[in-house]
Amino acid sequence: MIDLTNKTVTTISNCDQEPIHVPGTIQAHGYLLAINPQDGTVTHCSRNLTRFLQLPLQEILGRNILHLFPQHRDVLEERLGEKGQSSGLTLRHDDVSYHMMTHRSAGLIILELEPAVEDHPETITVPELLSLIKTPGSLVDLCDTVAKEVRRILGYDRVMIYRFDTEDHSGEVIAECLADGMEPYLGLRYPAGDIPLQARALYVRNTIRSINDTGSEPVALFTQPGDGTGTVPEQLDLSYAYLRSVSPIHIQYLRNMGVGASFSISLVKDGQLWGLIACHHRTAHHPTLGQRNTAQMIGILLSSQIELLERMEQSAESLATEKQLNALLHFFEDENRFGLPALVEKPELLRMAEAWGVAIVVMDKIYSKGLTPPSDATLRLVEFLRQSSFSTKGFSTKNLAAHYPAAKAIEEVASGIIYHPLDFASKDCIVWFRPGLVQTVTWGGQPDSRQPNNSKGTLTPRSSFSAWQQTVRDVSEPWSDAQVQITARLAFALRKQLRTLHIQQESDQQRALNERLMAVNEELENINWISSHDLREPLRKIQVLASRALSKDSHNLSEVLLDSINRMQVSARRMQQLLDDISAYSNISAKQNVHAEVDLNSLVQEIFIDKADVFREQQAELKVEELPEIVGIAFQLKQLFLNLITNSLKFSRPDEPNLISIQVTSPTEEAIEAFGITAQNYFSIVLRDRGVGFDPAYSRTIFKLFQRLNNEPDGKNGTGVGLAICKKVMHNHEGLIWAESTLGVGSAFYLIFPNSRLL
Amino acid sequence: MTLSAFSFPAFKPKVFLVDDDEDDRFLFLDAITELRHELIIKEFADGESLMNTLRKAGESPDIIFLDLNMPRLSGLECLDFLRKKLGDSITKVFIISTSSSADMIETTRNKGADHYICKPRDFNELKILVRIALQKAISPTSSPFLLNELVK
Repeated sequence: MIDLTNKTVTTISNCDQEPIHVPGTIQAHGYLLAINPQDGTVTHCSRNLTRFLQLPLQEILGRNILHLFPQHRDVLEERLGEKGQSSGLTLRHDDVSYHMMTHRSAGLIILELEPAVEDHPETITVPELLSLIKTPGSLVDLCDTVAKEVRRILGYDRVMIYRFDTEDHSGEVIAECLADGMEPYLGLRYPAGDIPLQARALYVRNTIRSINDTGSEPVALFTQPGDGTGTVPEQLDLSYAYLRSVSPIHIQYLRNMGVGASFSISLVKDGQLWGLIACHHRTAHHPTLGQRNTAQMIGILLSSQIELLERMEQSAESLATEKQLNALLHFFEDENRFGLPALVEKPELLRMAEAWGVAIVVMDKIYSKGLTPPSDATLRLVEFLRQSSFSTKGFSTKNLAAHYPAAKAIEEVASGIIYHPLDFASKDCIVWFRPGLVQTVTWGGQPDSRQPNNSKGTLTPRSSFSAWQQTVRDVSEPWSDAQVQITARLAFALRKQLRTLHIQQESDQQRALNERLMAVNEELENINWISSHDLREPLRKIQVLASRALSKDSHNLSEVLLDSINRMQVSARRMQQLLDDISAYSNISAKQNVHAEVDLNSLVQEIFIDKADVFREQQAELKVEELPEIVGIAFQLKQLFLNLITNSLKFSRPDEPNLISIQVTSPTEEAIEAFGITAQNYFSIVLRDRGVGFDPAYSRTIFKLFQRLNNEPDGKNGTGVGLAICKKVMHNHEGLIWAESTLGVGSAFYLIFPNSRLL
Repeated sequence: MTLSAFSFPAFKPKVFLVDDDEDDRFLFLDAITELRHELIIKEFADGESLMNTLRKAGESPDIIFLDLNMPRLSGLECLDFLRKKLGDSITKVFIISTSSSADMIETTRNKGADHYICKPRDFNELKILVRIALQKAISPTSSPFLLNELVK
């Protein structure tokens, strides 16, 4: 046999972990058996059954329940077949009536017996119940009525109704009904620690519990050693057992308070413990089954009324805040006036949350209105929130300092906040603020008095319950659910709006850029037009008039004048050349060009024929290897090769005939590196000459417009446009141009085309 | 370039010069004068005055040197009118223009111009072109439409 009394020593740190649902003991006013439904054998029993059955424990454990209560065979057989919970059955034993209650727990049937007491006459009737919930007025009025009713029915000295704070879980007594001479607790607040977490969970599951006599010793449960199959659990889960004995710490707590018996009914809303109806009696008190059932019903009724009242309150509030939200959403649609600075000025923004201040943070800029922390504090807060676990869902609190200690410094403006992120990637968000209120909280005893106060360091409950007042400055008026929800909806809409705005801005910028580009292009075309028409005409006249002077009056002119007119002629010719080249250059940029198949061999051949005179004159040679056919703009490609050949011929060495060769090759390493291209995607055509060459330092400069190197042969000054045209032509063919040279040896020009240009 | 002596028949050809550019008219007249040939020359600064004269007097010149780019009535419009009114009569129409655009040359040819002269940049060239033009007017010989080709 094993004594199951749970002797876990509760220490200061493990109050929340105390396994209160498996105490291994029961209260002394009843008897408990656990039965294996497979074979009807008793697996667990309370020690006091030896007295009840006049049998030693060894003869109870392992016996079939039907053998133990042969005269109740029929009833028991029926009960063992049932699935759920049942009560209200009376069993007579040794001329005493007992209530029998059964429920299932972890595959076993738990059977509880308690002496049946003549039911208290003060039970409640259905009409009374109905009138109870019809009580007009506020929630507190309803609770007052309920407290009175519960005290009348159950007969406890004190009935109080607690409400738990949704944020800090402390409890406040909001209604109370007392017997004469009882000290009132109304308005007192009890720290969250008075009801540990696991107790709250248990209270949600099992809505009533009774401690009939804090002065009696608990009774141990016994079981037999396991058969090793593990089918029968050793310890018994008493979550739903009426006789479950409560934590010794709680018993001590009650004794410290001078309570002889206690009874509590859970008030549950949305699956959360909303509050408790807590009853205390100065001495032991045994509520009857009927009283307990009534209490449970009242608890359910009150819970549903609370839910209803709060929902009504919330929907009335939602309606009001909805109006504010709609006004703002309309404003969002007003494209011309919408903007964050304008939005933050909207009174609805503060009104919808009944906030004192609001701040919208977008791209590190703060748009704020009303009472808000200084901007550096706001930015730090927002950064904290972004890195916290609230950053995705949003967050609201009436006591920011409890989450963010730095908020202590800004408690006067920002004790309550509602925070909604506007962008998950940055700290963009919207935050509403409420100031901390200077308020006095009356605690039912000093809340922080939970000290290990014996030598073993085990936890003992506080013994001081005298009211203790505390002034709080960092807690704001709490936010309502409606306010949290409506602000979330606004944040959602704002997030969408900002995203749209962002896209809009980008496309606006794009459009502005395009317009500028078009303007520039137009201007360029204008310049081109000017240079080809307006500038040419006066220039032509200068040239004609100068030539007229020379042809008609040359014999009358002085040497000096003749020389001047000659120089004028040269300058005018040069200017004409420049104009010609500029218009050639801008023609290369003109858009309407037809890409067609171009045979580079015949193209180069044509150029050679055009330039045959110069080749002959210079005794220069042109060697062309087989060139590919490519897709390109024929006249531009012709201009390209013409310019390159002309350039090479121009820079021939005076002492040695030039040799120009054109062939297909791979781009050089230097070119690949310089342009960062993938070698296998390109082919190149190289034009080599044996001219004067140029300083490699200028290998890029030479392709710039109007750039000329000062090594040009006398009388062959170019305009610095030819090679710029070459570069442009290559660009128009998604290609590149690259030059290498050695002074005095010759140059090489690489025309690097993408392979896609190959036929 | 030197000018060789040309002899012309005894009659005085009537020449209309239509150009809005005063400098160009001056240069043209200067070049024509140097040919020392007896001519009757009338100048017009725009197409409209040319049209008025042609309508009023009913007289038709032997040669019209016609600029294209002119205010009020362009050379092309004048050309259309001339060829419609005068038919393909003996009047020779020489276009004188700064434009060397192939399109423009082709258009004027189709509209019935006899020859086309791009205003040159050299005075001597101008003289040669004028001389050739006068010769064409008097004794037509086959030659290219664009007279500048003869000079290059």
